[in-house]
Amino acid sequence: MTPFLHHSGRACQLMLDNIDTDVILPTAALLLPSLDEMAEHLFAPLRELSPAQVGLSAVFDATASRGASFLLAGANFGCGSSREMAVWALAAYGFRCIVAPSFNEMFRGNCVRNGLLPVCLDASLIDSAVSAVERRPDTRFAVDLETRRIVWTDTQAHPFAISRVERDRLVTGVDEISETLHYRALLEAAEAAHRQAFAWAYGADHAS
Amino acid sequence: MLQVSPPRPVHAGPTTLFQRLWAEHAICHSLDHDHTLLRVDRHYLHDLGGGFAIRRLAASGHPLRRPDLTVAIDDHTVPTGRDSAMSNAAATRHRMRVDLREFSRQHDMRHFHADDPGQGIVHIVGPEQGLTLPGLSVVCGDSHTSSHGALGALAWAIGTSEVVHVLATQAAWQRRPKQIRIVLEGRLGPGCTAKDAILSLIGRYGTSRASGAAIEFAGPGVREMDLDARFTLCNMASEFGAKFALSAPDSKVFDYLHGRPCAPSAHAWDAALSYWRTLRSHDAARFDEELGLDLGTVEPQVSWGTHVDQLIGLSEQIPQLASLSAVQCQAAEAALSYMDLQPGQAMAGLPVDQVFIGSCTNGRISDLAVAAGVIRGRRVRAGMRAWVVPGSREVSREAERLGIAAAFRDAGFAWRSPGCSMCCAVNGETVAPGQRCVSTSNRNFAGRQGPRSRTHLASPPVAALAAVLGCIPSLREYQECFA
Repeated sequence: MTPFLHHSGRACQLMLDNIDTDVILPTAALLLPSLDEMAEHLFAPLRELSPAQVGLSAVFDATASRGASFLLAGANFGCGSSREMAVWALAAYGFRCIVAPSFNEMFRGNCVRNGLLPVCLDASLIDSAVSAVERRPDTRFAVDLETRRIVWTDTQAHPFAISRVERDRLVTGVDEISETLHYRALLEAAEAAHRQAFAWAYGADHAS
Repeated sequence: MLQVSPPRPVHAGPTTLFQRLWAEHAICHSLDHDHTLLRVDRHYLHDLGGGFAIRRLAASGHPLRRPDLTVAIDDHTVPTGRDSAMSNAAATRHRMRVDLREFSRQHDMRHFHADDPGQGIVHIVGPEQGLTLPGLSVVCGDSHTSSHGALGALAWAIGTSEVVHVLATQAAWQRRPKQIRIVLEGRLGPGCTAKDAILSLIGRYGTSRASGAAIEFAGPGVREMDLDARFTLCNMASEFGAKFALSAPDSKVFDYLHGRPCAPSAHAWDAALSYWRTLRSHDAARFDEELGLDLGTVEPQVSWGTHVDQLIGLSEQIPQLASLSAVQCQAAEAALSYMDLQPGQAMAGLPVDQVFIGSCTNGRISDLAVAAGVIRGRRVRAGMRAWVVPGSREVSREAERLGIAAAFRDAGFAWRSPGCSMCCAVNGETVAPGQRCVSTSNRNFAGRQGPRSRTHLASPPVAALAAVLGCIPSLREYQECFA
């Protein structure tokens, strides 16, 4: 993943609630050999519905959206399966920031791990961002991880919540495993204690 | 660098089972992002996520920390019949299984590969083999890992990067969730199953009601259920939004585990049992929320939409849009359009093209037994594609022994080999575009079972009857099977 402190770009919108990971990246695309090919299948199930079926504001027009690095979306974005490939595909497509009223918690964690910034804003604010994009598709969005604010056109900068650890991960791209292994002594002590107290859990047959 | 402190203490006073297991596995706490590092006792690595994860582990340069606590299983990508088409995707899936086998061999790790006599769906095999045990922490890169909680284990789903983290550290960071107790009382009526019970709850409260929470299923209704039913409850809890689901282990759990290949035996069994008997929530323990369900009010369910909470009882009609909230209405319109259904339409009599009985939700022996009872002496309707995919080789063998497999075959069902198969269709076994499938699986998202496929979630006996009738049964037709 590419760490970043500031990012600006265009936005596209997919204003449906409860967009699940099977819609973001259908299972058929999971075994494609490259991330770029996975990205081609982004939101494929929605693209097969006509605008009348899904609602004009929800159609993900892949052509018009190319080059957009912000995605404006509905509540509970990323619900469904825990599989991370949905996030990989979004990142490979070119998204750097997703703006929604809420995210599935596991999905949110997967985003941060993969350099994709999840920004929670009130639905009414997101609606005004969508209006701005509808008026002018080249509306410029900018996000700042130092000040933890997002801004578009001439609006004031809006604060968003992000934990220090999430922010650090996005900004430095630090390796989670190394962070944990820094506390190797604690891991070893916990394992030893468990082995002593719960010997029955370490059966004979695991490696047979 | 991450700053940690000793684990945040669980409050003094009566604890829930979940709090107790959390405390027993907590290594340290990070105030920065309010996560606790939990020790992992069992890590199940399946053939879909596993392939990606082992490549990422190799790239990270970190070694596999505990091969003795890691078990690999082929389930998502395995073909369940000889009719699977050869394709680039099939070749990729095969290579992933080969990579996993090689990795397992290098690390002297147990691998239930496609030809292993114990192979099957991970959430069925783990308990069956006595690998999942009460009180242990269990993780897997699969959304329905909460299933193992039916044995009183602390079990949850992790993402692919977390899988790599667990491979390297044998630990996982997790935020302590809020706790919901769901008390089940009363008795399920004839033909009503645990699947209908959990679907009813999801239908009533919505798919994000338990978002991120730990659910404990409790009450006399749970005690009366057999293990397979409890697995179904804990499995579907993830579709309620829950991160964890469990129920206190009791004598049914101990009887289930006794003698299983990897379960403790002799002195170790006695030691384990005396610990397991203590695993329950204190009577005075407080939960953040309490929900209840009278099992006697549950009706057999079928889904009509593309979210799990879009369902009705067999006797009901799809709701009118005016009766829904604005948010539900928007979702319903999109779903009905995709599913080619109308508000106010009854589900009974809706023709279906396929039936799939299987999955980690309902692929166990009791599920197959109830379904077989409905179709004995009858035939699958001409033109229907009806599959039974037993959840494991052990389930399959048991089904043969009990005559269940023969009953399905005689009725014209395809009796397949174990695997995830059509639940998520990752192995290429799909529902054809535009076709309707009554499925005993856990998700009905658009395209889940194949591009433009239409999934109707239901219990195994409802699905079995649908195969015979060629359509979704009416409540009366269904109840006649149990009269």
